[in-house]
Amino acid sequence: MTGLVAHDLTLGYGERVVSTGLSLAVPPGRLTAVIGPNACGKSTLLRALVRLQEPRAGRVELDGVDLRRLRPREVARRIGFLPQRMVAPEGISVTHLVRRGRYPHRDWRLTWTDVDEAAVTRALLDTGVEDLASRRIEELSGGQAQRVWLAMVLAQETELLLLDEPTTFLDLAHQYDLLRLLARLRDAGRTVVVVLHDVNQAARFADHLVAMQAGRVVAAGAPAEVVTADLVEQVFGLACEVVPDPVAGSPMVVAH
Amino acid sequence: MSDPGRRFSGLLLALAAALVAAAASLAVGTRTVPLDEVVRAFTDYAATDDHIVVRDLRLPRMWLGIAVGAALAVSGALVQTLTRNPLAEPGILGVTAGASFAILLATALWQADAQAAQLVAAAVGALAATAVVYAVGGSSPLRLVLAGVALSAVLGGLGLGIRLALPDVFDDYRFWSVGSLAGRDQVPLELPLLVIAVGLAAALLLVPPLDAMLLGDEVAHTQGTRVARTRTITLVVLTVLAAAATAIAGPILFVGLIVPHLVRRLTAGSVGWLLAYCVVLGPVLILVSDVVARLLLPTGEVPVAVVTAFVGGPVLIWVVRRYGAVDP
Repeated sequence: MTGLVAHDLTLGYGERVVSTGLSLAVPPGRLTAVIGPNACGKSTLLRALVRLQEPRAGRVELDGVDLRRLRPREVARRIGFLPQRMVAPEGISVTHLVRRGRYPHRDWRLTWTDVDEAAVTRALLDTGVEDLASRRIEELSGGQAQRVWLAMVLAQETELLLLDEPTTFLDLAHQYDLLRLLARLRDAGRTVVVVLHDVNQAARFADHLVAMQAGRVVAAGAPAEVVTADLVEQVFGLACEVVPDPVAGSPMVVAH
Repeated sequence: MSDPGRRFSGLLLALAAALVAAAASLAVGTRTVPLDEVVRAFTDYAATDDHIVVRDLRLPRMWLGIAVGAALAVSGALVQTLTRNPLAEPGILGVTAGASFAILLATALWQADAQAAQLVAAAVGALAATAVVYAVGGSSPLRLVLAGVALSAVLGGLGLGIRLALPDVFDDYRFWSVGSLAGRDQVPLELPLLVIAVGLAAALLLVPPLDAMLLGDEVAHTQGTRVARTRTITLVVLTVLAAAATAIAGPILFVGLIVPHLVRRLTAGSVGWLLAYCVVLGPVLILVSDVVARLLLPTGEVPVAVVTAFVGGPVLIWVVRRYGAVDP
């Protein structure tokens, strides 16, 4: 099996078990969205996929090799992750922050190469924050900061990109900007996994949809197959109709 | 001016200040030696009284001040970075309390009032206290600080008990506890100085992973940093540095609070610059304080720890009032 695959994971914090028998294959080169109600284990699954959460049982494999057997830096060159909350050192400029994304690619001498510079420039352009390059991170709005964080992760230039609710702090227009950017990254050959709250956005932009509830994967597949009134009722406890999105034709949830 | 430019010129200024402080520490004291005579003591040594004072008394003391100042400031920078607390100093991890208590205990049990014995006791005590704090606190910065504060309180209480019960011990301990560079030249200092040099070199190697950890443990981890390992090594390095400095010069830990706190606003976001400034400005504060101490009380010596506090304290208050506090 190639790409990122989770086998039979048991995940939890302290006494609390979040997931048992959780398996998932991330389709390479596709945009995968993970949806589900609050506290259903979406974030925990993502954390396990990037080694932030050690599975109690089961394993996560990258191209058939257990993540625990790979060197952390090697994993970091292949999997990028944008957590929900970020911490910025005060006083750091946007450019310097985005440059931090090159960390896994640099050797102990910390030489800065043309490849590093090109990756940073591309990341700033892709996220549309090139005008903010010399600003300090604490001067930015929440939405601007979120795009800068994404730029930092993009500068890491990983084939896999995992994002935990990246649209949370963004206004509606910027939410769509970000989703379109993720689609472009997918078109450029990257594998993207994103946790989203908005089922309609997930259904519209994802190639592959994973619906979770109570720590389990309830359904996985193409959005048109996964998003049904029954599933939304089962997963979110919301009575609804599913109609075609008037713009994209993807399934759209309308509550009763 | 751009940030890197400002940082660089600031560091040059700091280096100039360090040179002035070093020259003053060689020239100023009970017997003030003119600067040209100080230079001659190195270029054209003639064994005059001036030359002997400079070469044999003040030069070792200057090196001592530089080593202690650099060790304390870098140690403070590491603990502030690690705990994400701009007011942390090595003492909150129990280093000072451990060293003080160990000296009291050694004095009480074995009448170990020789300075060499005190040095060993202080080092052992500081390391043992940090080991306990780390065992209790684990990987959480907040729990580390709580464990350090709790252990410091317990050791402080026990130490007070010993001092009250055994007045002789109190007398010996008092000399060490005020924190001074005076009279430290009778003990072999090569070992602690070597330890400090190794500690500073190790701190340099910690710069890239600590830089990554400024972005939070999660990001550092997903960027390939071994977070837990970095935290453990940092803790060991900062403790060893603080312990060596404390063993040599007594509890002058205020340097470890104020120097990194003050330079933080210039170096924000870069652990490398922070450490560079600390290595230069830590010695400046110690040397200046030592010179002021000699001038204030030429015969008896005001301990340098007292002066660092009353030189540094008002500066800290002024900066915080003027610019506000800065998070790490």
